[in-house]
Amino acid sequence: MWQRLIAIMDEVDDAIVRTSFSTIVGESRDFAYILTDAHGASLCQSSFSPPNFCVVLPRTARVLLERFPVETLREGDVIATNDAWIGTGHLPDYVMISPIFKAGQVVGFIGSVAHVSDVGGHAGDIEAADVFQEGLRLPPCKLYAAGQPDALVFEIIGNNCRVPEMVLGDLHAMVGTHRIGAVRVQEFLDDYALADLRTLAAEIHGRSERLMRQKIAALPDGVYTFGLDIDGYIEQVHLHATIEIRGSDIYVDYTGSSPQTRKASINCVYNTTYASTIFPFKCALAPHIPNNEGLFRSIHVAAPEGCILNTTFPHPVKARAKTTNNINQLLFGALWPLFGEHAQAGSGSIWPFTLAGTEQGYGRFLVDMLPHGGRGAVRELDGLAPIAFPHNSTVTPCEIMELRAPLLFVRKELRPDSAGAGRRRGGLGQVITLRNIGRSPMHLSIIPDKIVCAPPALNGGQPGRLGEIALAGEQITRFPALTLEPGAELELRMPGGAGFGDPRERERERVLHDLVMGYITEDGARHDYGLEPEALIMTQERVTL
Amino acid sequence: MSASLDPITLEIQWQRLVTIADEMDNATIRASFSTIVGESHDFGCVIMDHSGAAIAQAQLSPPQFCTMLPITTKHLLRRFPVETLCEGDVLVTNDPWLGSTHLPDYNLVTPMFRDGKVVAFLGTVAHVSDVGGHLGDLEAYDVFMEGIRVLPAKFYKAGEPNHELIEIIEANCRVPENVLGDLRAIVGTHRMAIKQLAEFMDDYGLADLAELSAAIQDRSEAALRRAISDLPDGVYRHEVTGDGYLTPFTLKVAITISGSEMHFDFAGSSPQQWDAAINAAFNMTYATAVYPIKCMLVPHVPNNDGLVRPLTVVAPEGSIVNCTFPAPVKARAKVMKHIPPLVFGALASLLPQEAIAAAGGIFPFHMNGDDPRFGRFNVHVLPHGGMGAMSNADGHPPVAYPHNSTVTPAEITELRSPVLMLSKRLLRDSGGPGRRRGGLGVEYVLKCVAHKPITLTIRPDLLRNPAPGLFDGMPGAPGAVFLNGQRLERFVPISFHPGDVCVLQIPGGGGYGPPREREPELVRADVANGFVSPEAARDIYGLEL
Repeated sequence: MWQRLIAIMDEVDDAIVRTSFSTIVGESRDFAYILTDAHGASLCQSSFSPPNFCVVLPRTARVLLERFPVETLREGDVIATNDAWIGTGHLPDYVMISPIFKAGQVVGFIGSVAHVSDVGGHAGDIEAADVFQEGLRLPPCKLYAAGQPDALVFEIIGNNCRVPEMVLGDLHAMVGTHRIGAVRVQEFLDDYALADLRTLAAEIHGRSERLMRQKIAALPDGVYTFGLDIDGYIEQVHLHATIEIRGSDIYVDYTGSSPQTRKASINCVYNTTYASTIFPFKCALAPHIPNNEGLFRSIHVAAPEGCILNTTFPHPVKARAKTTNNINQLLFGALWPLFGEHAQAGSGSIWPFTLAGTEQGYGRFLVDMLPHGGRGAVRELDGLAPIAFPHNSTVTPCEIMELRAPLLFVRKELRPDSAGAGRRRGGLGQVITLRNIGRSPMHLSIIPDKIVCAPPALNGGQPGRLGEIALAGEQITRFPALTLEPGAELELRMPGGAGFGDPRERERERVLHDLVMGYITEDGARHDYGLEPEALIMTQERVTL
Repeated sequence: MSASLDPITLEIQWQRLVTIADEMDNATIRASFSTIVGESHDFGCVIMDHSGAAIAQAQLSPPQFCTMLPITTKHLLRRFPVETLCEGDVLVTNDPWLGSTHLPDYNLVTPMFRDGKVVAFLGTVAHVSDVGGHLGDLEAYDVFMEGIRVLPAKFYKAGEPNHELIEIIEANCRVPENVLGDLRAIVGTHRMAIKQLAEFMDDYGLADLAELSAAIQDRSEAALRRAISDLPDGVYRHEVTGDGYLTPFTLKVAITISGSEMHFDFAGSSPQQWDAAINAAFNMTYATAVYPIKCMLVPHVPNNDGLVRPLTVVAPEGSIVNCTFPAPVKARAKVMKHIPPLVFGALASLLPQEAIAAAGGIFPFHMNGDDPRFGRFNVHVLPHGGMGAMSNADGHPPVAYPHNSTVTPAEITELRSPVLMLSKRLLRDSGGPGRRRGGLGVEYVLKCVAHKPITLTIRPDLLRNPAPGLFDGMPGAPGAVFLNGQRLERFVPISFHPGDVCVLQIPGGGGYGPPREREPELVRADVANGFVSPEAARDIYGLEL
């Protein structure tokens, strides 16, 4: 039954990819679907959904239900908000819930989060002094009431974004998928002759919570601390975690982390800090349990108000992923000896960017791409080549980017020598070079990370290589709204993942393989592993890989 | 033209309408929450007939608002046709292209019903304290960065607030108590004015205002046509150059006088700019072009829409005086303020007694931030430079022109924000020399006395191209801005730190006639008053003391 509910979420997930209008939803998959019980507690998510969204949505749902109590809801209602403190931490993310009715009663909610292409606001992504500059804030409201769209809400959203066809198209498409999901859940209830989801929810939550508690109880009690310096913006940021394992509960406290800032939109609301904390524990302790709220109940997260991980309104928040994406590295840094093969070294980070402009033949265009650097290594496996972590998104194909904007992708390749060395090396970063082949300048906004502080390694491994960005041939380290002139190129040299374990323990065959595949150069072999290429080639004659 | 209204009855009734508008004005000041409405008087009140034609304005209202508001009303009525309106409806928009050309200006229009039909409209346009968006006034590349845009909607429906819209407006401004307070206060003033209009109509036994409106407008039109017919037919041209922001601009006008009509053509003016928010939408260009004509030809006729009937204005689409959506528009006053000197310059040879030399213009600034003593504060000050001279009068010292606003007193500024006004004084030698001297400019010295940095946003003008004179009168002094002694060239929001000092030197007005023709006793008086230095008296006015 559980798997069927997941399959329903996967079906609506697929449906939005096919009915969406934008690259950020349809090509980058920057959205999530979650099924909740009648109280807003999550039961399952679609398989590809980003984890943070899935952990936040239930929290948002409960706030929305305070505003619109469940007894006042009708079939066809869709409640939504993009408020950063109630939702997922920045304005482009619209959170929606639709009640599922059975025999006149609300039995659950279809919930979704989607990052829409544009919410108005200022042009850059990082340099802002408050959240008002970042775009339109929609307080909790009914997007649809009893099946009818709210004309005023859609007008205001449409009039306050640069690409209204894309944004409104995506919002309406999501509402359509909610309807599909609701019908499927109703069919499911009929098939199993269930009046509601209560019993199933209790099983899912109960068993998940018990399992998580068993796993936690098996860990040694104690207090574990760790500190990590991360890029921040203009000023470096320090994250600090104190983790107490006590019986079957875990308490994480971020006191000692840097305070919030008005100079950069890298502040994190509590919801995203909470979600980013839950995820590594789930990965390490309960990797095979489908995500649901039962798994979170034994993990408690605290951050002082005014800390960068619990920012107060109206601090700027657009680029909070630059901070939250490092939380897993902080937690693994503290607890890796307890997690065995489930601790991961630091990853190369996400570098989301948007290009927008107007060009004959393309009209007013806006394209998004969410590339990642290499993933960190774990004890037994090299890090994966660029893949989303800790997010869960795909990368807009070059072909689609080139179809929708006057761009040419000159290069998109793995970046040799970018991986952090180790007994298990990190995943390689990538190099992406693209050129404006139109006649007009394009607006570029980008949020890079790991250009100052490298992805941290574990257990004697080496950090991943720092990233670099060049715009029209010049290296840049500041990221206000930028312009990509006609003919100019943007080059992204993305960071590699960090390594796990002493590089000197890396098997020679693996090093040779890396050399042969071009993942490391001869200089890299010497520098990272202390091995001469000739010595490696002799190895090849003895062992086939 | 109406024959049944004798001149005395007409005058009494007409003045009574003006008085009702003045009472609206007064009530708005007393009921407002913000400094920009209550202390700077940046709003206009207009009474319109059943078709949306202006028949009276409050005497202190900015002239452009009063010409634009009826145009906006007609857009509102297209969206909400008069037959669909109910008693207690209040229509609203802040769209720059339909309204008064930048987002902070909210237009509110209330229909007045009498015996079941709409007999008049009460309108107010007010600059509210904050509409979200970025804190700067100048550096924007589109209107989406500048704040929330509300297309025609109902602010009140049948006497009940539109909570949905109000919640959204509140969620998207930094000082919702100020903004919603001001908007609700305005609705209150409309209700009050409706009562007074009803009493007025009862007093005179009027079923509606149709006859009075026709009398006002027809006679006003006739008066203006007579005055225009007295002028020789021809085409009269002029050109002015303005600072702009990053790039200067040129405005050109060709005024064709033909019989009793005047036609303004702005062809040849610079194109709109996509890197500075100085673009003027057509409504502002139209309203500012017709205003000098009223000043020169029919100064004693209370303003109403009859006075625009003989005047037509065209400007090329995509020019800086007829910008296209979504151009950035916040600081369009930087272009608008050059239109009166353009028109006076073109017609000065025809009307030398009535022409006014260029003014120093508006130089607004505002402070934003949070402080334990002031809460979240937002204070606007709208100072102007000296006014231009006329043939028979020196230019006034700083007074609003062509706007009509007051200046937030130092005491109020210091009560509501952590800023100390160290000094506020006239600037010697800043009035453009002439037989009639231009009005002096003024210097403000501000000091931050907050405990942490606050934001100071300044929108200067005439820093490079000072106010020109007429008939060999000399230009006024240019303006300048200094922060801690350093001259500023770019005007992004300033992070105003505790102890920082900002000096604003606001330009003087242009002179009229050759300085050497100024009567010696006037020059001596200027020197005695500290308006002119002895050196300038000698070198420019040719007077040895």
